[in-house]
Formats: sequence, C-alpha cells, structure tokens
Amino acid sequence: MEEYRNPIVLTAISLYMLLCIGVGLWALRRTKSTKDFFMAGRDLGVMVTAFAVFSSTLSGFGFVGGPGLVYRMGMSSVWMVVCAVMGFNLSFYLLGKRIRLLAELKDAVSLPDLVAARYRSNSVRFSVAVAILLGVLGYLATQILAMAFVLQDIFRQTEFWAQISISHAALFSCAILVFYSVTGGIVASVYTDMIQGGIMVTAAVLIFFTVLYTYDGGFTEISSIIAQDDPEAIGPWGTLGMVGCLSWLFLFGLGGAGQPHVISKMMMNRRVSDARYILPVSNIGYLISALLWISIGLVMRALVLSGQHPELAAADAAAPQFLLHYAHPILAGIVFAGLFAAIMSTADGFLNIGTAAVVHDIPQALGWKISNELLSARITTVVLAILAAVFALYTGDLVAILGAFGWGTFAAALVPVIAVGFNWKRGTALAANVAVIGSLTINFVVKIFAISIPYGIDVGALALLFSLTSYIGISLFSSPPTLDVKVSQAMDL
Amino acid sequence: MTDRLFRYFFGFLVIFCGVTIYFLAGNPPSDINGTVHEEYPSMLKSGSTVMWLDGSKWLSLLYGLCVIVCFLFALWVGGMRNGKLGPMLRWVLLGFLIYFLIYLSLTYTWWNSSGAPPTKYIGGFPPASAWMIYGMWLFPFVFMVMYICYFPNWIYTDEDDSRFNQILENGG
Repeated sequence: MEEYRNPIVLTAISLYMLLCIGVGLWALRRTKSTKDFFMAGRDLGVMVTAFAVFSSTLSGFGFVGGPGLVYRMGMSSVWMVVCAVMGFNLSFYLLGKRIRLLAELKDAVSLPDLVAARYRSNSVRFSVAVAILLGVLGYLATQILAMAFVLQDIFRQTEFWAQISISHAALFSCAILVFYSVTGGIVASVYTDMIQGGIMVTAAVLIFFTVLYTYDGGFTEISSIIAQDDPEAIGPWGTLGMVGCLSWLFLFGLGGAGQPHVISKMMMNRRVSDARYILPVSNIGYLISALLWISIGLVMRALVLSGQHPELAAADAAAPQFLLHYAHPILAGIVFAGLFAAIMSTADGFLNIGTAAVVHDIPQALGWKISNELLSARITTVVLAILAAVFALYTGDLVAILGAFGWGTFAAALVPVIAVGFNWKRGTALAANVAVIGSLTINFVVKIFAISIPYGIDVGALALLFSLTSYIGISLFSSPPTLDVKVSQAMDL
Repeated sequence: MTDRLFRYFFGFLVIFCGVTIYFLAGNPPSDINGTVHEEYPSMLKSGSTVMWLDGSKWLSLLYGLCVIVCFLFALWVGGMRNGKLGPMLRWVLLGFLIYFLIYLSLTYTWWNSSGAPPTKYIGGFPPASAWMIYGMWLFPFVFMVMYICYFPNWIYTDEDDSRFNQILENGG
C-alpha cells in the first residue's frame, strides 16, 4: 500500500476537485439574480448553513498553521481553539436572530447593506466595505498561496509534475476555486462548504485516533514526553505565557462575531428560528475538526523530542510530515482533501464578500449605479481571484502582513459596529467610523513597523479593545441617533 | 436598563484598558514569551513566566477576568429583550460564575505547580491544562444548551414572528 501513497493522495484530491466542479455546474442553474449570487436567495436549510458557518471559520490555517503553532509553542495556540465554543455562542446570541431579521427586512445582499440600513449612513457602509476588502485581499492571497504550496509539494512526488512552479500550482488550484465561485456564486460556495465540512470532520476524527495510538500511553505519554523537556510547554499557557494566551482568548472568543465570511452566512438561512439548530451543529462540527489542530501538533513535538522523528525544517511541516510518515495512505488522501476543503471553503467565502464589496457596496456608498450586477459580480470574482493570486506570488512580505492579521482586522473593525451596534440603538455612525478606522490604523501601524508588544499581547486584541471602548464611549457621549422606524422595531424583537 | 448596562460596561472597559496599558508600559524579561529551543530550533522553550513577577502575576489574573466579563457582557446584550434578560438571567449568571471558577482553578493549579514535570495527569494532560481543555473549552456548551432551550420562549417567540411579519407587511 505504501508505494501507492502518492497516487492515492492525488486521486483523493482529484475526486474532491471534481466534486467541487460538479457542485458549481449544479449551482449555476440555481443562480438567477444578484440575491441568489450573494445570499443564496436566503433559502438555505439548517445543515447547509451550519456546515458553511463552521467550515468557513476553520481555514487552511487550522490544518497547517495550527498544528505548526502547537508544535512550536506547545499549548499556547490551543487557546485559539479553546475559545471556539464560547465564540460560536457569543456570535449566535449577538447576531443569530438579529442579522437574519435585518437582512430580510432590508432585502440586503451584503453586510455593508445592513450596516448602511442600521446607521443610515453611507460613510459607515463605505468604511466597512473597505475594511472587508482589505482583509479579503490579504486573507484570500494567503489561502491561495497555501493551496499552491501544498499542491506543489504533492506534485513534486510525481515524475510528470516534479518540476511544477509555484505560479502554475497557484493557477491550477485557483482555477477550480474560481470556476465554482463564478458559476454558482454563494450557492456553490455553501454547498461545497457542506461537503468540505464533512471531509474535515471525517479527517479530524481519523487523525485524532491515529495520534492516540501512535504511543501506547496515548495523550498521557505524549504530555509526559513534552513535560520532561519543558513542563511549561504542556502547561496551560505554553511557551507564549499567560497574558499573550489570554489576549488570544479575547480576540478569538469575541472576534468570531466580526468575521464577515462567517456571519454573512447567518443572513442566508430560510427561517429566523433555524438559528436555534444551526448553533449546535456548527459548534460541534468545529470542535471535532479542531481535534486535528491539537493532536498533530502535540504528537509531532513529542516524536521529535523523543528522537523518534528528525527535527522539522519548519514548524508548518508538522502536519505534512505526520501524514507522510504516520498516517495510512488512504487517511493521508482524505486529510489532504480535507486540507484543500478547509482552504477552499474559506477562500470562496472571501471571494463572495470581496466581490460584493466591489460591485455592490462601494458603488452604493459612492452613489454609483452598476448595471447588470450579476454579470459584473461574475467578472469581478475572476478579477479578484487573479489579483489575489498575483498579490500572493509577487508582493512578498505584504501578503504575510495582511494575511497574518486577517482575523484581528475583521474582529476589531466589525465587532463593535455589527455585533454591538445591531443590539444597541444608541450606537452612532461617528462611533462606528472611528472604531473601523482606528482599529485598521492600529493593526497596520503595528504590523508594518513590526512593533513588538510586551508580554506577547496580540495586536488584534489591542485593536479590538480600542474599537469597543471608543465605539461605546463616543456613542454614550453623543446624542442618540434617529433610526429607521422598521429597523428600530426589528431591533426590539 | 440597556444604556445603564452600557455605561457600566464602558467604565469596566476603561479599567480593562488600564490593565492593558500597564502591560504595554511594562518592561518584562526578554524571555517572557519563550526562547528558541537550544537543541531543536524549530521549537520554542518557555522562559520567565508572570508567576515570578509579583505585580504582573495578579494583573495577569485580572486581565483574564476582564476577558471573561467581556464575554458575559456580550452574552447578556445578545440575550436581552427590552433591556431585560428575563428567565435567562440566573442561568447566565450561574454559568459565568462557574466559568470564572474554572478559570480561577486553572490559574491556581498552575501557580501551585512546581515548574517540575507533573506527576499526575488528568485525561492525558497535567491538571492545569486539564482545567483548560475540559473546563474552559467544553463548559461553554452549557450556554449553547441555554440558547436552544430558551429560543422559542425568550429569544424569538411565535409572537415575535407574527410581529416581524407585520413589520414586513405594513411597516409596523
């Protein structure tokens, strides 16, 4: 079986890609208007929405970067996962009902549409759309780059594709993503998300048990090996330390309610009451998928420390190395398909909201009229993907800078404006603009000038604290805004 | 009630900012966020911890408390109707009290760990990490159950649905 490892992996990925193309073609027939393209006609069932919510949350980072961080820092990065159950709860308490009501009331096709309706302000619509577009470009570029690197690694094991360049790998992986995103818009995106979520859950469960049986003593033996070398590494704060970990708890716990590619899915379910069932399915799906993140990182650290595996060239090699050496070839095939699923399910969500920002939100904010929005949306999806790919391949550090703080950018800019503002009538447009612009400035300045923050506090957590404080403070000290009557009534429900 | 809650929360956020500024202005040991492992450079090894810095030790505990209060506030605001949390109030408060106690237990267990390899493991992890995995991670499922249970009677009732349809049809 071992000699067929690479053909098995390639077959699994090819089957998965074909499935995505099939869903794209099927969704083409269901996409007849802009509302279908961006909001799936607000007609999604519970399971589709729930899987779309959790699979969009767990990007390729969870499958590659996450295990790498656990390998490198011990338990520190596990806090990004530990906060997830609380994070999903907060997102649904704050937005599960509210965002769906306002979307139907205003017939909105994007988050900035809702923001404009809530604040009666095109300037807030514009600043939110720009924040989304900036984050999307960075996040999308890193997802495309991750796909290209993984594909290049897999192709290199074959004779025919051994010399494939990174740009060709990017082109190939991007083509599939663009195909189903252009043909089927968000319909294709959410249905592929459902398949992708299923693959991720299956892969995570299988990997968890593989890790468990790597050592006879299971996790106790793994923990014990790590503790012999450095007890703090397997302690609750890992090597980063207490304050840094708590800043991640804050950012990743509360920040989920500001991720546009995730919360926009909450606008698409058929009934408001579906939120009651979407939350548990999303929460449990994510919990299971996250097992892969933790288990691979810990076992690879233990294997290297105990001398059973050579040291890794880079921390990000933890997951690929484990799959290559310790997983059954069929399991490796499933997990590699799962990895592509994780990357593509996040990337397609970004393509969709980025396209909405370009063809719908920014023109609306500036008072421009775009004729034939659906055709423009399809063309923009292609252009945006090409731009992100070029950006990923040719701008070097800038991609890393934008991609690295994608979550923090969105969380800091959007949590006060959307998660708080949709639940509090007193929030003003001025406060919203200050929160968005201030948080973007903090994130960019700290990253671009590589400012080191004491105690390992995450810059996103700082920006989120600033934006929350300024939003609530400015709103409290301003005169209450006048809300649209219908919006005000819906906010009373 | 809603504005009063936000006023209190704003006051609390100012305290949270103060704690954060203390850390930003601080000058911790250079190895507080770990150092490169001497034998395996692809890994980090722990350095100094806040446990050894008296002021930072207590303020770190407070920092975590501030994070938990932010979660409580978010859940409270999200569950409110007309400025009240209604039947959910006692369960939300009880849930967060337990969540806070789990956080305290985690920190207390960690403070009392000697820095030597642990002798006891719970569910595959040292005791402090077990609090983190089985407590901080899994306990919030309680709030999910509350959401499911209270949804039809409090969060979005049939009357709300009728009222919303009315708003859609005739502008309220």
